[in-house]
Amino acid sequence: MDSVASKATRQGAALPVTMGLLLILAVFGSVLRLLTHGAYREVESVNSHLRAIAVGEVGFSSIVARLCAAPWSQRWFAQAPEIKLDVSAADGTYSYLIRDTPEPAVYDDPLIQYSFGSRNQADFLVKATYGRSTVVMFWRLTVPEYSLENLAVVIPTYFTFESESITPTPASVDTLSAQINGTISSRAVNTPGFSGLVGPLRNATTVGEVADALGFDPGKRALDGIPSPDGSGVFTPNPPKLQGSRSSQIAALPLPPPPTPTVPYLEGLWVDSPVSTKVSENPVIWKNCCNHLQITQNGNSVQGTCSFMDDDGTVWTTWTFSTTFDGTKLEYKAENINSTLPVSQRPVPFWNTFKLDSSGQTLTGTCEVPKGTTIGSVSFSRQ
Amino acid sequence: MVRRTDQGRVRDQDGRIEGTSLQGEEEKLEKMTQASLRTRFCRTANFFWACRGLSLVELSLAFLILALAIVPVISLCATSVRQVRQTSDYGLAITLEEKVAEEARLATWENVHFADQVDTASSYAVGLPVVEGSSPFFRAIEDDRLPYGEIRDEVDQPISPMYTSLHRELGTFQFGVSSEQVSLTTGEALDMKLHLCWIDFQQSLREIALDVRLARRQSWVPPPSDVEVRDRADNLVRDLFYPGQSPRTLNEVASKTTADLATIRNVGDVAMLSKAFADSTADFRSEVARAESATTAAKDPQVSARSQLALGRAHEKRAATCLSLLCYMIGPLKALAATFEPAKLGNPPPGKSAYAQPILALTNISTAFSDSLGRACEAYTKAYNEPLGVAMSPRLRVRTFMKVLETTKLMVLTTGPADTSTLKTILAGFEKFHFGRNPNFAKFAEAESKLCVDLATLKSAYPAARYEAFQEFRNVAAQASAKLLGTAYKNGLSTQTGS
Repeated sequence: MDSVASKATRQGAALPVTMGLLLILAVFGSVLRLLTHGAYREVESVNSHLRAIAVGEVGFSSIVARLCAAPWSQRWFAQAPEIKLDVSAADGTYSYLIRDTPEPAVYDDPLIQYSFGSRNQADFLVKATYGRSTVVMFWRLTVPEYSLENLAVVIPTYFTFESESITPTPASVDTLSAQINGTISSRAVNTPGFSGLVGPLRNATTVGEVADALGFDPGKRALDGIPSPDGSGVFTPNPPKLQGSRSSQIAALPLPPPPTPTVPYLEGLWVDSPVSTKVSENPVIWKNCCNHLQITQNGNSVQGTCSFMDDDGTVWTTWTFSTTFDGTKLEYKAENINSTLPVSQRPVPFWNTFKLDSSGQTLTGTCEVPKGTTIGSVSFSRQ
Repeated sequence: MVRRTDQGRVRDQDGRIEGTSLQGEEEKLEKMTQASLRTRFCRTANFFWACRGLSLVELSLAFLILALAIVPVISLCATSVRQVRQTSDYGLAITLEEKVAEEARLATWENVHFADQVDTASSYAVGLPVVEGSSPFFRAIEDDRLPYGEIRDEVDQPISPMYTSLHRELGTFQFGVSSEQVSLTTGEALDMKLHLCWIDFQQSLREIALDVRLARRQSWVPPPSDVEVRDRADNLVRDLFYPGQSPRTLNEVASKTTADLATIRNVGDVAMLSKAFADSTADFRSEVARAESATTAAKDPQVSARSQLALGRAHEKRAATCLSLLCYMIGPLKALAATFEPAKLGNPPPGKSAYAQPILALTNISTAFSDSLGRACEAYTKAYNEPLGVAMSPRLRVRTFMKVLETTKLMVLTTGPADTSTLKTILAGFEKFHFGRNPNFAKFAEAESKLCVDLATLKSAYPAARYEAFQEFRNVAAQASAKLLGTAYKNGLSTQTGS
């Protein structure tokens, strides 16, 4: 009986202890595995997040490339928002919405009125997925108007990451679009204050000067320099480096004056003030007519045709001329006079002498018949 | 040796009580007590020691199990160490790839030629070491040599042995780029694949790749807003040529008068746009006057610079409007010059007053383009140079430079002088200035300089529609107006023969 009891006791003790040890080891192993695998998963998570961004960027670049390919008026989403789901790219997928911005923010500044403030604005929301990561990005895209740049430009005027829960639907974008308009308005309100700080900050090269510009006391002395890179241990103060860089930046690159265009400013249509003219004796018809001086120019050589035309587009008299232009003075003799006007109304051979004003918009001069006898002053405006 | 018991009895050396007859019984009792004690002891405290004989097997078994359990744990530890090292390499690789991806994305905005440079540069495709400045994407990394303020290849340090741990970590990393041209529904892009490989601590080759898409920018001239939508343009033409006919469509009205719709549209578009352009002149002049007075009145250099830029922008807007008109009108004018006959205007035809003056005024558009382009270039140049230029933010100043460049290029190709020397001069200065400061701008200037080396090269690289429209416009307009207004074309002039 004693031996049976003793045996039963020993079996009962060893198994729990062994199991306990195993359990402890298992827990220990699991924790270790969890910790090490956690680090691995962390890197995986960062990786998939960055790759999700890369997937979204592929979507963004595709949209920009498509916007750059044709005039704004021919954009493919002009009629309705475009929504596409699960487009494959860069080993992930993205879904997006692009549409015209319903109420684009307005800029009064003439400098940015046609760039940032262009009417050609689109809201673009992309939701990109890679592995377990999802990112939502939103851009406000602007296509500038009235630009001479030979390659099309698309300006991302606003960008933000958004919550993963947002889906590419018009309702979501409505909310975002309104928020961004509010932010842009705030930016406009803040601009004067910002502009006031820019000047002092631009000239500040030390921590103290920056603090002064921002209006606070930095307290104890801040370290403002770097150890010399040659390993000598010599401390290189920062300001001279900044100043050296800044001064070279400011002084650099004066541009030569632009070339003077060889195509002259005189060319085009010039029209004088209308006069009431009798164009028919029986029945008597009076018409408001004016001279339409059409000039072409090659270098200093100037040729022109003048049409005395009424409001209805009927031409009653024409003449031509050929002369030279010295940059300000235009003098010619009317030739090849051809007229359907009554004899009394027909002009006789005459000379015109004009001066081009500094704006290049008005030719003011006299009409002489015969040469030397001024019969009236004439003023032509460029049309 | 004897000692007394508690009851005064004496025990011998063995602990036996002397002088009793119950010695045997005592011994028996003693033995029983000891057995009882041993049993109790076994059941309680000194279990392992006291039961060593029987526990050895169990202990061996336990240690065996323990050993079996520890071996995987040790193996797990080793795996963890390996994972940590791999994770570290992997993290580094991701960081490096992300750096290049970000730089590539930025470069497409700052250098429009970047995609072409990636596409054609053979050195990018080969896997090159990240260290020692071998890879073009990992040249100088820190401004640690004179002149300060500029990071220069071959002058400032790449990832060299000086950066001991970084150099050691990245010692086996190699980076290369492959690219592929992509045609989208509209437009084109370049798909870059960034490849990064390295030898890990187990001497195994590891590799990761990242896809980056770069948008390619293209050239087009937007049509004038009045003719962007055909129906709207038709309504404007109808109102100009056939007043009071709304709500009939232009097609209906033209059919009713047996007019040729295409001819009506061509004449109508040209007349309507020319008239709208003439009507906009007053607004343009007042805009310029406002900008000029703001420039003159400004005391603050920053305000003055922005006013000067606004003046340039007003002229650029005018020139861009003219260019848009020239590019659009060249088509209808060519058609009219080739095929116009008065009968195509129908019976009754539209009143001549609706289109005569606008047609005569067509050459004003090319002159206005020439004028505005020159003035825009002049205003931007003035804004860029001292004293105004230094008051601008660097970013705005760079944008101003781009405007000077674009307007000058267009001048060289259209209004003249047809000489690229000014372009070469300003690009050389720009490249010199940005060398070491912004590699994207420097490479942009380098690529542009190659395109502007002479007029023929510039022409081949520039969108032809933009300058050919200007060059052809005068003659085509003269031919079309001669046909439309019943004039004969002679020596580049429309000579009236009577009405």
